[in-house]
Amino acid sequence: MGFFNALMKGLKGLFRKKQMSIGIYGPPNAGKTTLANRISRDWTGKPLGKASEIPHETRKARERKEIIIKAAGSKVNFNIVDTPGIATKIDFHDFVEDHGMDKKEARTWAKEATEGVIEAIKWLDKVDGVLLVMDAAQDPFNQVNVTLIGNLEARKLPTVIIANKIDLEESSPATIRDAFPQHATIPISALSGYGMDNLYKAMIKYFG
Amino acid sequence: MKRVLKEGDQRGVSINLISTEKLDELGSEKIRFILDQVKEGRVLVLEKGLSPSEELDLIRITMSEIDHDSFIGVETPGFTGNVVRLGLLQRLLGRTPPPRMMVVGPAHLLKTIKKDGRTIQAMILTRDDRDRYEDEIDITSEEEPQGPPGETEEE
Repeated sequence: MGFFNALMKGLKGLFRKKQMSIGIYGPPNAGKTTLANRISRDWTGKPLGKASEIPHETRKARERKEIIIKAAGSKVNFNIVDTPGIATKIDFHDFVEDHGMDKKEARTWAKEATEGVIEAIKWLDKVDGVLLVMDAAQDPFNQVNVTLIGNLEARKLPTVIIANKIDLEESSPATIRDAFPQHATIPISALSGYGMDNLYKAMIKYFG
Repeated sequence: MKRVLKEGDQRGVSINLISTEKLDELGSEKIRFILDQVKEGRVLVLEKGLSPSEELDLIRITMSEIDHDSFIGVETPGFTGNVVRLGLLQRLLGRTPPPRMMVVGPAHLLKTIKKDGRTIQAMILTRDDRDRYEDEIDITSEEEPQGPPGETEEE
């Protein structure tokens, strides 16, 4: 490492916050909690929350503090916040018809999900950076992704896009990269752990 | 006698085209106006779409007003300015792409079928039979996508 690089790294370290709060955002079922669990398990040995195939499984934001990530010769102390999935519509009938809930349970689930979306939006004021999780097997131009990208850019929040679920045959991380070329896109499988080393390097680079 | 068709006595869906002038006049009442119209079952075509922060406000307020019986949320297909690729100089100057055309409708009546940076295909579901798509809106952007920005992402 040259003298200039060492100097810059030292200066950066002086002004860096002690802990960077990173929000994990995205639409429901993109794999946010699976990613949060993967990160938390990798560095603390403990998961953060329950992941499932039912949309809006995460209906309250969950935070894990003091996750120290070491990569590319550096280490940074992160608070990781797993936020509820953001949606423009929530229909309790979907939980009845697609996931076998009874009507009362589905109504409660849907009500909590709407509150979760509001909470996730509020968290945008508190985080220092965002991991925006997209399902690489789905169309990236959904309104939630586009709205989130617009808001993250307006707030000048450092953002890394996660092209998740690349273990699926139909996944296409290149489609996400082409859709949002102004942001770093890291292809991973939060489920299998593939690509996590690249993600940790990117977190150090863009958030550290 | 010729029958006069009035809103509310037919099977169709009211589609209201809202001009930029009207939206500008509404100012801070814009989101309230949109939501009130949508909750009454109308589909709005906004000549000038919402800014990213207005879109987030729309989502937040929508979530607080979902009642799970008559209103389950909004469908908002639109060309968001941020998808337009700005050149390096434009971005260095801090230029924000202007909001572009947007459709907002009740989620139980309006369904986005396909969307990319230039074309949006949405369908309006009839009240009587939501399984059959009877009306279709097809909006095609006239704006050519600009070249890729100077900076590209990396892994």
